[in-house]
Amino acid sequence: MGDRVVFLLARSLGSEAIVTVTSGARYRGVLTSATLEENLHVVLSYPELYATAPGEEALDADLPKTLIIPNSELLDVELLDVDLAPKPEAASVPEAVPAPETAPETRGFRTDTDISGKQTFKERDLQRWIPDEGTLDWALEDDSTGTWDQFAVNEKKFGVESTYDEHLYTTRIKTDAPDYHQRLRKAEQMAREIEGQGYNGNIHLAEERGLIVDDSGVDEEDKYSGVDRRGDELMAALKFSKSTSPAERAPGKYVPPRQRAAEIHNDPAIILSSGKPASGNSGKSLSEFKAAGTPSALPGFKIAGNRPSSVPQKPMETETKPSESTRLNVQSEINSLKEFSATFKVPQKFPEDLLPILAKDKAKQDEIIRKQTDKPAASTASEDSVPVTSAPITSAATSAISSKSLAKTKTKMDPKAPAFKLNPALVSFTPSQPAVFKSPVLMGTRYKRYGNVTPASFFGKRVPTEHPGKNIAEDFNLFEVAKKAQKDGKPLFIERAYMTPPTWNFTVDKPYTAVLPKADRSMGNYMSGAPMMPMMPMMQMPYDSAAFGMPPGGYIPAMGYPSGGYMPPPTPVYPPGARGFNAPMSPGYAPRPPYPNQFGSYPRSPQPNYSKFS
Amino acid sequence: MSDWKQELNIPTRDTRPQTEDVTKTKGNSFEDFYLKRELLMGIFEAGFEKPSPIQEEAIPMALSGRDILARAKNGTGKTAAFCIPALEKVKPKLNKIQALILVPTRELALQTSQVVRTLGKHLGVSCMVTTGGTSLRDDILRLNDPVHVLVGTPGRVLDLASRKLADLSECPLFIMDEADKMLSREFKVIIEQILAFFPEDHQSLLFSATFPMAVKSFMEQHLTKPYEINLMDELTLRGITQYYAFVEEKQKLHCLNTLFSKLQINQSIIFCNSTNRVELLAKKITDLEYSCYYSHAKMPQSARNKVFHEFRQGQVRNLVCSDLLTRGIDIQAVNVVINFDFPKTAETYLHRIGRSGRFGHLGLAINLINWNDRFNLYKIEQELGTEIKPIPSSIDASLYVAENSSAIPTPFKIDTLPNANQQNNRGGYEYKGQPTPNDNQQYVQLYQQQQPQQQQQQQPQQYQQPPQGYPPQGFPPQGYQQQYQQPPQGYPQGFPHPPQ
Repeated sequence: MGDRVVFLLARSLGSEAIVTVTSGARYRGVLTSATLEENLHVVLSYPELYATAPGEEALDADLPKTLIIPNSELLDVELLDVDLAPKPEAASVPEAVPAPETAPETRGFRTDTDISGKQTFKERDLQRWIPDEGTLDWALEDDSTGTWDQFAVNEKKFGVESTYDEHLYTTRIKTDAPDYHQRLRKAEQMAREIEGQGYNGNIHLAEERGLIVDDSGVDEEDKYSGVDRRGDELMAALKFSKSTSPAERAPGKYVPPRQRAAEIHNDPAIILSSGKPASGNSGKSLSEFKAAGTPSALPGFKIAGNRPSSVPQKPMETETKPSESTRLNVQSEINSLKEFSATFKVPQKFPEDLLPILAKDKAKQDEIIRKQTDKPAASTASEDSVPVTSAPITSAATSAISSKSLAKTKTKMDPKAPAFKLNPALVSFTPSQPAVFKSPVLMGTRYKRYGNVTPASFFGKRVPTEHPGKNIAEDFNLFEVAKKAQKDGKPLFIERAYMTPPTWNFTVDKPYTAVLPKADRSMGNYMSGAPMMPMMPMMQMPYDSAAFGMPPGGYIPAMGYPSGGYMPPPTPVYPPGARGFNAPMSPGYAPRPPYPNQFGSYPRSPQPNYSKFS
Repeated sequence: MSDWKQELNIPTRDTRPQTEDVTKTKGNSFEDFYLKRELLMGIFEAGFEKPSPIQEEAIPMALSGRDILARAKNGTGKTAAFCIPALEKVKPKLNKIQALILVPTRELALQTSQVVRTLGKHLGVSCMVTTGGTSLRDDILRLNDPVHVLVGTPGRVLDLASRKLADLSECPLFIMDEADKMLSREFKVIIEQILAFFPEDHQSLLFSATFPMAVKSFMEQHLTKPYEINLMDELTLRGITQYYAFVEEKQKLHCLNTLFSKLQINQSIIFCNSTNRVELLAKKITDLEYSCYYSHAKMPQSARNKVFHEFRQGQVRNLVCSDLLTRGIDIQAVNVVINFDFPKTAETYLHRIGRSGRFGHLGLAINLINWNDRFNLYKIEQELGTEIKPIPSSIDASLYVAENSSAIPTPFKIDTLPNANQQNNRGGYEYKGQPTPNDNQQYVQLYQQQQPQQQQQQQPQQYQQPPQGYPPQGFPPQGYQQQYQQPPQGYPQGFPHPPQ
């Protein structure tokens, strides 16, 4: 019995099997044993009749608990649900390895301190470093000569020269594109718009936009390396701040208007929503923080390290006690969030079908659209120009609700909201106010909706953009392309689809010049100039490259197979056109020797030459 | 069939000893992952031989399409662990951004992009860097041409994505390196806005060496059934020896100079806690006649890039910097890190000392501690579960000096660089170099001689050597047989009929 059968039987013990016996009846049960001798005998536990023998009636006879089927009775064994995957060694030793040891590692995510195991390192006397000879007290700040040119000094002293080239790292700008100057102008404008945006109090955003913000108190460790341990606990911090009563604060310390209100209300929700900054814009309040000399107003700041020397050092106190600056951070974050919600603009067009919902008459709808288009220009101005409060709607006389929702749409888009999606339910929208139906404008809009299927309503979020240089009617037509590519006096060259072989040696296209040496590239001239020869194959594929058209590791006869091994009949993997290769193609076509010698033994004829392998 | 391997341009093998941090693998080879041949060529030509543990774990799982949250020690190959699956998945013919890699700093973005470009050299994949500090206009122009992999810092990427300049609507792959920092509060708001531009069914790969906090809420919100990889049962790297030198603030420079004269420094990074101190210290070091660059975030980006590039290429021996370069920066030749000022947080400390001992090699970390730093020292020792010992009067060179440092890889082969010819003519460092180990007499060094290893390192390496260290392998890869007990073909299709 072969090793594989032994392996299969060993693996399938305990799994279900269906055994067919010579009578034709089939029994299903758990395979409990099988002989591994010359003939196979099997034992089924808990058998049941799976199918009766043909021509016999089903017997309700009780089957024994185990059914021993000798080899003489056995026709077929079908194994169900056999797991042939390799099993780890440990699995074969049941319950040998106690689990608890590894359990903590698998128990989900582990932070750094989980890994380090919370060993305690006590304060100890540090061993003082003793200089070898002499003492030279030479503090860094002793002579602050100011900035110096490191490149000049290092080049002069040590001959260090630069080899830096940004194209070692990033892509090259194609300055030879035909519309380069147009692109350049557009890019310049976009860049100005982006860099002029507010940065919502986020120092990283400000840094990336090249804005110079006051980040004193935030060192580079906080910015680029340290992780802010406070995490998302914005609300927790707010709740903490309740306990900080005014009396605890240092007298005379600046309290922004928001916090003044917050002292009265203890409810975090009220604190969150309590009043707008006195100046009416959040950007200002941020600068007020700075003016007041509390750099901690910026997010990411940690109090440690900035302590005046007069304050006695209390070890580890920063983490246990919520402080004023923590709350200032939280407040400034709220400010920045509010500002963000005020200035955020969904980068998509205002959906037309929302118009009738927001405004009833035509004038208002126009106004909305106009504001929508004006907005980008406005948003490039400084953050101060965008008021947090809703923009005044000049032409009043609409219901309070609609004007409110209009204002909301314009200024307070939810930043988290995904791009607007059409709601199919809107089609059947019927406003509750009967007056709406009397408006002829609205009726017009409604009909328009039915007639006009916008690309967005069809494609949803991903509206395909038209490629400027492509014409669907022509550019994908084989013949049109060939006609276009035809040079004066040259014959028409039409590429056949099967020129693409089924498999490639390379998964990335190479230019044809790499595949075809220049000397061989003359096939196009064999073609006659007749335009009606689409069937003419242009066989100039590099079959002389041994592996071309072959799957990697495929059947290359020259490679040989292990003798005696499994030898599949080598299926030619040539494209269909290869067979017709030798046929004369057109007058004047001289067939070249199609295959190099090493392919001479390759089975192309019905009498394959297998002698080499057998 | 394996003749493509003969044609590879494999760099000289780096023979320095490596620790278990990178050698404790299951024994897979890169071929076992069934990567595109062009990608394999890029991998081997980058000098990679076998996948590191994190690569072994992460690459197949990332290729299968699952979200990953992985942590592995500093310098054990995380970058390649996400770059390789990203490159495998990118379709060069599709003119879309197909992978976004976010990193916290601009220098790290440059480095990551360079890795992508090196590994994907034969794939025809275009990889673009976009960070602040560079011309936004140029980046917008670059996006007119095909970009397959976008590497950047969150602020700039958000600006481009929110204006639809970078179209992420069909980007299937979102990758964050240094994920703990990226999910720190001030970055997280930006990240979440960027994620809103991704399609619903994108795949996310998050990597870091440190996670001081659980990132539970982000995982629940933005990851689907993330596969968690944790290859760390301790935090610190095995190859790094850590010492402290307890000094007074005024002694620090004296101490540093003593270190310079006693240690065999291949390349060193010295960290200071403020930008002003960075500049002052670098000045002092050049005054001591050691070549030294400095870098911090207040400098113009062009200067930062230049410093970063030259230091990685080994043009200067010492770099003084702020925590700007604490995370992720991979310079293989660095064997000594000095904390001139001690950091505040444990993760900063861990990342700083992880600048030496890259990829399981040996390294030395020396902390200058003053009286005020001592509590921080205890705190960080406790968080990391490691004890930092006082510096001995002489440090055994075998702890951090490699016997053969001639083949330490640089990011770019020297002869491919624009000024390569001049470099070759000079034939090595012209500067006075580090002093020899046993000499520490005065502060102004007058050494004209160069250490032999310096010269070797700078000479253009022989890249045409035949590949070594590879077992001749064909298809199927040899590791295959070990993995499956059954040979791949020849499964019995049905049960064999027993002879009657």
